Amino acid sequence: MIETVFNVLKITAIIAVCAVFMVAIYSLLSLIVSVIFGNIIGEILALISMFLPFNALAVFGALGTATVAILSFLIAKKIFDLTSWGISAI
Amino acid sequence: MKGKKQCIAFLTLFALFAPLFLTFSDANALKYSINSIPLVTPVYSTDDITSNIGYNYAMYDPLTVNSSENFSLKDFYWIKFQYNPNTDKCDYKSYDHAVQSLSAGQSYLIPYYIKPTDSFYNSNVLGTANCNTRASISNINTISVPPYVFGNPNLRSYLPYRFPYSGIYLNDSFKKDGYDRVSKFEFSDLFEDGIPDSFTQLTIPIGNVTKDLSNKHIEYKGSLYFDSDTPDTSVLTLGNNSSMYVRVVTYSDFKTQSGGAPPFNATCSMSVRRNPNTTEAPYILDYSCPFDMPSDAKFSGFTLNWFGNPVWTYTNTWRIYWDSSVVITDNDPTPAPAGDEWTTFHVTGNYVGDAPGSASYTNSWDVTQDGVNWTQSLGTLFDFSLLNPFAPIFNLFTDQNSCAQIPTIASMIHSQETQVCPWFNSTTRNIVTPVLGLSSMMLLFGFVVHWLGARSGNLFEDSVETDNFSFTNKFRRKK
Repeated sequence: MIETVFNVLKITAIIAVCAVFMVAIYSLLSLIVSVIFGNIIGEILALISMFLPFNALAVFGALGTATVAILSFLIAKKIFDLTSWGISAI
Repeated sequence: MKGKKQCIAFLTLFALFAPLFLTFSDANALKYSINSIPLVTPVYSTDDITSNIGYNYAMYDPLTVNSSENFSLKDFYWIKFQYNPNTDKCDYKSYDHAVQSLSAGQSYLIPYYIKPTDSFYNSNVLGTANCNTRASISNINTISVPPYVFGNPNLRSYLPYRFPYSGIYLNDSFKKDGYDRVSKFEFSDLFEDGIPDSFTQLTIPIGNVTKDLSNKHIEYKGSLYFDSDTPDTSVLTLGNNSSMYVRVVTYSDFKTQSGGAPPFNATCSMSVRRNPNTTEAPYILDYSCPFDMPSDAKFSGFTLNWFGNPVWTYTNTWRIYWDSSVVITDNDPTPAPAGDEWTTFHVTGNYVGDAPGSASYTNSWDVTQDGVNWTQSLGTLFDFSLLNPFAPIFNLFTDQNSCAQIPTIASMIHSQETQVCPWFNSTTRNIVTPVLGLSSMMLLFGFVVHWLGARSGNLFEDSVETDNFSFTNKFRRKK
C-alpha cells in the first residue's frame, strides 16, 4: 500500500516536472524558429488556412500540444523506470 | 530492438514536423514578444531618425503624400514630441509647416512616413532637436491610426491593413471645407452580429435609450458612447430610406491640454429634434455642450493604454442627423426645441486608437525600452502566457473567424492588402475547428497508446507475465 502510494506520487511528480520542462523546451524551440524564419512560414500557413473551413493554426497547435504531452509522458515513464528498483527498459 | 527503432522513427518524425507545429502554435504567440525584444533590428534606428530629422531623413506628410510614391508599412512611423525639460522647450512643425511650441507637460503625436535621403533635406522638417522626440518602430503588424486618416483616400490606401470601415466614404454632399477629415466610429459594439447592410427592425440599446431604426440603411457607421447617468427612454424612429451620418468637424492637431479646460471626462449634451408633423424623416440631431467648446473639434489629448496604444480624448462638435432630403449646413440654424420633441443625450469622448481586431501588443512607444527591460528580467522566460501548455487547447474554442495578418508576404508581393480573411463563415469554422482539433488529438493519443501497448499487450493492463519490471506493474499489489 505504501509502496503504491509512493509510486503514484513519484510518477505524478516526474510527469509534472517533465511536462514543465517539455513546455519550456517547446517554447524555446518556438522562439528559435521564429527568430530564424520570422513570420513567413506562419503567414503562408495562415494564408492557406484562410481557404479551409477550420483554423489550421488552432488544430495544429492542439496536435503540437498532444505531441508534447505524449513525449512528456514517455520521458517521465523512462525516468520512472530508470529510478525504480530493477532495470526494465534495457 | 524493434521498440527502439520505433522510438527513433517517432522522434525523427516529430523533429521533422516540430517546426510546423511550432509555427502554428506558440511561435505565433511569441512573435509579439520577439517584436518587443530587440532581437529584430528595426529598419531604421529610432535614435538615428530622431537625431536626424530633416537632415538625412525625408519626412512625408501622410495626409498629402502622393499615392504614386512608394511607401510601405516599414516607412510608417509614429513620432511623439515631448516637452524636453533639458532644453525647456519643444518646437516642432505641424503638417502645415507652422511652428508650434509645446510647454511643460505637453506632447504631440503625429504619424509620418520617413525615408532616408542621400542629400540634405529640410523642406519638411517636423521637429527640432530641442524636443524630446521618440519614434516608434514601424516594422510592426498592427498600427494605431488616428481617426482623421479615414477621411483621406491617399492615407487610407497606405493603411497597414484594411480597416473594416475603410470602404465607407463620406457622402459628397458633406464634403465641405474643413469637413473632409472625418472620423468614423463603429457602431459594431452595439450589434451582436455586426452591422447589417439593411434591416427591417432593429433596436439598439444605448444605456436606457432605445433607438428603433426601421427599414434603414446605415451608410456611415459611427459609435457614440452615451452616458447612462441621465438615461433617456425615448425611442427614435427613422424615416424610410434615410441614412444616418455621424460627422466630426475637422480638427487641426492633437496637442494636449495642460489644465484649465476640461477635455477629459468632458460631457457633451446632444439633442434630437423630431419633425413634429410626422414620424418620418428628417430628424436632426444637434448639439450643445455645457462647457466652452471650440468651434473646431479637437482631439484634446491622448493617453497610452496598457499596450501603448493611444486613447484619444476628443472635444468636438457633433452633428448627427438622419436625412432623406435635408442637408444641414453650418448656417442652418436649428430651430428652438418644441417641448418634449427634444431628446438629450450625454456623450463621452474617448476613442481607443488601435484598430479593431489588432493585437494590442505592438506599437508601443517604449517598445525598445520594454525589450531592454524584458531581457533584463528572467521572469519573462517563465511568463505563464508564453508557457501556458493549455493555450492551444483553449484556442480551439475561441472565435475562429479572425482574419490573418500577412505583412511579410504583402511586402514581398508589393501588395497593400496585408490582411486575408477566411472564406468560410464563422459558424462553420467555429464548429469544424474544435471537432477536428480534438479528433486529431484523440487519434494521436490512440495511436501512441496502441503503439506502446503492442510491446506488452496493453499499456495499462500488462498481459505479459514475464515482464516483471514493466511500468504498470509498479502499481500492482503484489500477490
